[in-house]
Amino acid sequence: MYGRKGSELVKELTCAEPGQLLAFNDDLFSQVIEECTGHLHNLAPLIRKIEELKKLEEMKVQNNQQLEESDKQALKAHNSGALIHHLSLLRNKRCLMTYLYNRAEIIRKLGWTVDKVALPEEIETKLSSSEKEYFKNHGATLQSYISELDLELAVDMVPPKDPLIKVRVLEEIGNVALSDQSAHLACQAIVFLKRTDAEQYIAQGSMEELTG
Amino acid sequence: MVREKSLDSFYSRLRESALASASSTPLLIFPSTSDVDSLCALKIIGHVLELDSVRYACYPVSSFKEIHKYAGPSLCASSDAPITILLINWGCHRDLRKVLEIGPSAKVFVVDSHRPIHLHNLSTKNDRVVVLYTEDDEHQADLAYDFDVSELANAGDMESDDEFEDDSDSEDDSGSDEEDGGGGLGTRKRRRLSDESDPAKIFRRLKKEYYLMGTFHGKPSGCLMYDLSHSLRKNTNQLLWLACVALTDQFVHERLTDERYQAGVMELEQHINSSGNLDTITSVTLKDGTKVTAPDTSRIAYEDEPRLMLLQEWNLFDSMLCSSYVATKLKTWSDNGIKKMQLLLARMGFAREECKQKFQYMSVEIKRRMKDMFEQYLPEFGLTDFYYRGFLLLHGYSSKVSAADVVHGVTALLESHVASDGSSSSRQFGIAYDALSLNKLEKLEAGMKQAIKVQRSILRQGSSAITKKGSIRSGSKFRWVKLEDSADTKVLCHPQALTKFGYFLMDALREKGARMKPLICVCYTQERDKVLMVGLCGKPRLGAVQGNAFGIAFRSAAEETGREYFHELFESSWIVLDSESVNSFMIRLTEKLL
Repeated sequence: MYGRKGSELVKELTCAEPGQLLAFNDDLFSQVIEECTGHLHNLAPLIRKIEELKKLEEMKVQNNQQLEESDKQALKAHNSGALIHHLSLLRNKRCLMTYLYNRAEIIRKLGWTVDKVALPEEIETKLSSSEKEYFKNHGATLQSYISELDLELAVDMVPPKDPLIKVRVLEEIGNVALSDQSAHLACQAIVFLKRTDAEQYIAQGSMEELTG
Repeated sequence: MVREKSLDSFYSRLRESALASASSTPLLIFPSTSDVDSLCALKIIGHVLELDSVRYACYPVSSFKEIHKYAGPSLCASSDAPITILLINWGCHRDLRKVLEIGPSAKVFVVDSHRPIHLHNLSTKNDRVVVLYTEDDEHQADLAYDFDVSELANAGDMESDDEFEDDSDSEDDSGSDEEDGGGGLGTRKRRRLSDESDPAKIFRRLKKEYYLMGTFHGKPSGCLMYDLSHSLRKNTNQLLWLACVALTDQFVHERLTDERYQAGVMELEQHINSSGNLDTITSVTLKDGTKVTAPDTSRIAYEDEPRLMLLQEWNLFDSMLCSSYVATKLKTWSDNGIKKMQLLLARMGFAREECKQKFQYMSVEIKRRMKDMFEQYLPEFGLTDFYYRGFLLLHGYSSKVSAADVVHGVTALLESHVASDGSSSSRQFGIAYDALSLNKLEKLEAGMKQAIKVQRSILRQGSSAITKKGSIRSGSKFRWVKLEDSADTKVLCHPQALTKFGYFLMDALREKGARMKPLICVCYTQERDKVLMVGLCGKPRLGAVQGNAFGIAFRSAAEETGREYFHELFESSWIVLDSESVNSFMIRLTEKLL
């Protein structure tokens, strides 16, 4: 059935947790594009035939004649065929765009939350090459904007209740200069520090917040 | 000023010092990974510091030198950046300034329940170390000094004096032999009167007396820290529960006398009555205005608790079979003992199937009658003090957990690391830290399951040591027992587990009518190239003359063997030796303690 693959692609988007990425479905994506080209191939001869019949009809009208019954039938059939192919093509295109657009949106959001330069590996493997490029360029744009404003824009919009936070270090980070003091972030250490210092490590998954 | 007698001024000095060095480093906290008390104290002081916005970094450590891995060079003399360090539940029985090579710019604060405190740590001339040692604590200690400790500490000379181990050695040689052997308190007092003329001599003798008393424990650090939070008006229900757990930790591991436990319980009961349970919600108003009583979110209660381990996670039958108190009294490892126990259950009218049911699902009828029945029938079997005053934490309607079970579970978590390197023990510390939170009960359950395993090993090994002739060797001053079974040594080769095993043996021996003697437990590590050795002196009694005197003897005997040894664990009666040197160590130790 036409358009099924496209809808599968979109379904995949909705299946994922909101804000989470699934691996880029290269296979299905190219299959949909193939289907589009197929439509195009079918559509082009149909249009040509319709135009021929139309011309024939015009000529006949000028001579006060009518199309033959079989030609009329053929014209109708070609019209409907072309319409179906055309609509399927449009629909597939929309599905492809939706897929790309939604993923791009998530990737843009990632640019605000995780480290702007390097993505964690488990996310990076899920991106297609053009998406990687997109992320990099977006990050660079963001970075240059932030440095132009001289204001950290990537922080949480909701102000924290407490400027300090208790975390557990999950992997050896070593001696680190935090905003105003230096601390040895050893594996399994429990550290009470400024939230702003901890945020980047938490986003990278090398710290977890301790509550209770 | 180095002995801090009041909690408030200790804390304000700590905070001041931490804030002064905050421009370069956070306050460094080093809790000991060897007991639950230190975890409780850490959680409480952490809470207080957080409310005061004092930034800190906390690194769990399991031996003395480990601190250098984290503190960096500023601890030692080279740097002049100020640094503030807090040690929780370790350190005060060694000369910290010397052992840790503390530089002039560093300040070390110590909260520790180990006694005696090294005199250099208490001396006013040593301004790098501040020890919290309250007057109450000094006066209520299990072993009383008949002299003023502060005065003695200040009389010492910081520079020329060596560590007490070397020190007492040299005095042994210099000929006060008659004191060494049977020198009870009486002879010492008499000597003191005659010596009054020479202050240097008095000082030397008093110092010797101070250290030779052996090790014991002061007030639990967790309780001290709770008192601190209380006096700062920063106490919460959860902190109070931690204080209960800290006290129970000392009780479960037999580190304090019954009298002092009772006193501690009374104090905490007062806290529970006056300030505990206030912040709980008892009723909820629904949208349409009806009021519904909500299950108490969590409430601390005190009750008479049976001496049965881990009942909530186990079943009545197995818990009775394996708990040290019942097992040693009834000798449940023998056929006779099992019959006795079954007879007891039958007399009480408890069906065997019910008793083997997981306790949670045991019939409510039995649970209700349990206490009356036990009190009625147990004395016939010689179990007279089966109930003790303990604490419970109630969660809604569904769960209730006793402080003793928490201690067993969390201790098992602390001691279930495989490798002996620091990283794994600090990971276990993290898990144990979580397990003490009220909202992570599943981790605690895992700990309790591990504790059950430990207890089963204790019963297995303990009973085979008792029944097999010759496995417990007896000297004139002490007994010793060696554990070699590989499956169980894996579980028991941790200081607290081995200590529990030792107490099990001592109880069993007492039931057999053997004379009470100190006991040394030796346990091979998994690789069999090292042994862990733990010296026990029996449960502390009020008015005893001596605590655990193995510490000093262990060190000097190990030195004499000339082999490698590791005496840096936080209890001086714990030592790790090469397995080949065990025999020569034992010979030397016997000579020393003769």
